[in-house]
Amino acid sequence: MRKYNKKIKEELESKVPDLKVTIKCSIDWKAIKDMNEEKENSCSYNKLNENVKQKSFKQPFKFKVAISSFACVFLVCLSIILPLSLAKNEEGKTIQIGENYLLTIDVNPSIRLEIDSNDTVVSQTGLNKDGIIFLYKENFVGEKANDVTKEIVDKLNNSGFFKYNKSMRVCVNDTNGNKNENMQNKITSTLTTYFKQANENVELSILNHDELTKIENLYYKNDIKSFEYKIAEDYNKKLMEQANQKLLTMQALTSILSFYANIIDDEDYELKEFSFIPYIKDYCNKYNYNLYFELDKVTLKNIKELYHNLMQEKETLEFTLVEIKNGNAESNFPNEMKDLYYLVEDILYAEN
Amino acid sequence: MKKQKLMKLTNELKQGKSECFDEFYDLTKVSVYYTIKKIVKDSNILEDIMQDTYVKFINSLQKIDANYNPFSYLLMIARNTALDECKKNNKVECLDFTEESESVALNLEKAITPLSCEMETKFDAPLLNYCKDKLSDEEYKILELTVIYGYKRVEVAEMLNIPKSTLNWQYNNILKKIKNFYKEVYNEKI
Repeated sequence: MRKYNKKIKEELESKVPDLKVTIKCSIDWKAIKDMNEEKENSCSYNKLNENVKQKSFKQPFKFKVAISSFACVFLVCLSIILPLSLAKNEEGKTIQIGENYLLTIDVNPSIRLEIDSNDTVVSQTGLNKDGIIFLYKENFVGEKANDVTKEIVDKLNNSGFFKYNKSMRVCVNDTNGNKNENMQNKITSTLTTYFKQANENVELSILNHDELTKIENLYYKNDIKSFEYKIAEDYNKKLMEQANQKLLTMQALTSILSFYANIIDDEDYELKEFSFIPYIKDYCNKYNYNLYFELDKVTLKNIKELYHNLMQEKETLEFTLVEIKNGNAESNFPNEMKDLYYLVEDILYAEN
Repeated sequence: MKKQKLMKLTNELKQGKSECFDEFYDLTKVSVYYTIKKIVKDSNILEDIMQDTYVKFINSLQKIDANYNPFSYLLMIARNTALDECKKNNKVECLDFTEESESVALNLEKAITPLSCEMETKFDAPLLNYCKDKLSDEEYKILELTVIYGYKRVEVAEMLNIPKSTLNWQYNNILKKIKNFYKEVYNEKI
């Protein structure tokens, strides 16, 4: 199907003139550069918190996380550089380390981010199995370190990692292994503000050298790198399983609702039949589906609209699965399947 | 369109890195060409307008905030420049966008809402013309946004203020139609 879209674009593209050289010659690039430098110098330094994503933490933790009873610790530290054959950048290649520093996040999952002098993430790595699962579908490369830290904390929170333990350890080291007090204070301050805004009572403390070394040693001892290859296959396989399971569930639910959906009646009235309520509840709970009506007072119109929406979403999911199978999906992680990713990760955390 | 890629390239162009322009041009040229072509028929004038568009865009890069979508701004400039040309030549009655073109215009909806002068435009693209004739206005708009301007379906649903599932359903139907149109236009299957 994508081939026909491509044909339309090709038709137009063949008519577009190539004006690259002409345009580049018409521009005073030095003046552009000077203007930019002038603007940057006149801006205030601390713009890191401008793009805070205000996410609500009022929703309940819907996904059971099989975490062992040991203390779940969240620490953020910038550590000394490790060999980065496993570091993953946007193209999956190893980044040459210049004057960068590393940001390690360990909650179990344990994650490492490499950050350059512009506070931009240039690569990401899982340091244990949970870390690899956690990062599998995420791509933080190119984003600002502060924003990524918040995104990671959001995801940890939504996945239920703070449900049982609320403590965090932070440490910042430069590339020579020395503490970077300035960056440490910045990260600590960002996290404190962040948790305060989210109304989360998380205790912050500093990670020491021995604890960091232990994390790194476990990485090599457990051969985490090879797990990275295994998880790719596992993740995709389970995602397809969950998607097919969801299709079956949708099929069953729409079959139940079809009786009401096919009632030819322009009048809207409250239904007295309640046998379908548990099925709707189960579906909403499992797939985080937002109903726009209350289940204790369901009308015929509510059911007809729900049926119609489910049928459309079912068709969309079927289409998405076909696109994935044919290699034509817009993304490796289509938005149409976003409710399935947490489910898949839940299963993988439990299995590993 | 890869929004993140464009934003990254725009930030680099802001720093005067002319080597990034080639990629930026390649990613945006079809959309810009299409936007201008809808208003201006003459190929020579069209080339001048395309050149003016990109030059204006680069020269006003500092107005674009790092978080805004530069693509919308580029298309707005393209459209306004084309309309200014029309006004100059008194070819068609156009709305006055002069003030808007000087500010950071981010509303893509304005950039793509067709004027009467654009409605009858025929391109030298048989399949596209056929689609324009056979699809409804809404369907053609979805085709424009997804295929020509390169927006993701999620973004298009937000722009058009329709549910994502509805848009996906319409998009699937459009694809099925285009498949048949292709057979009719080219008398063959791909």
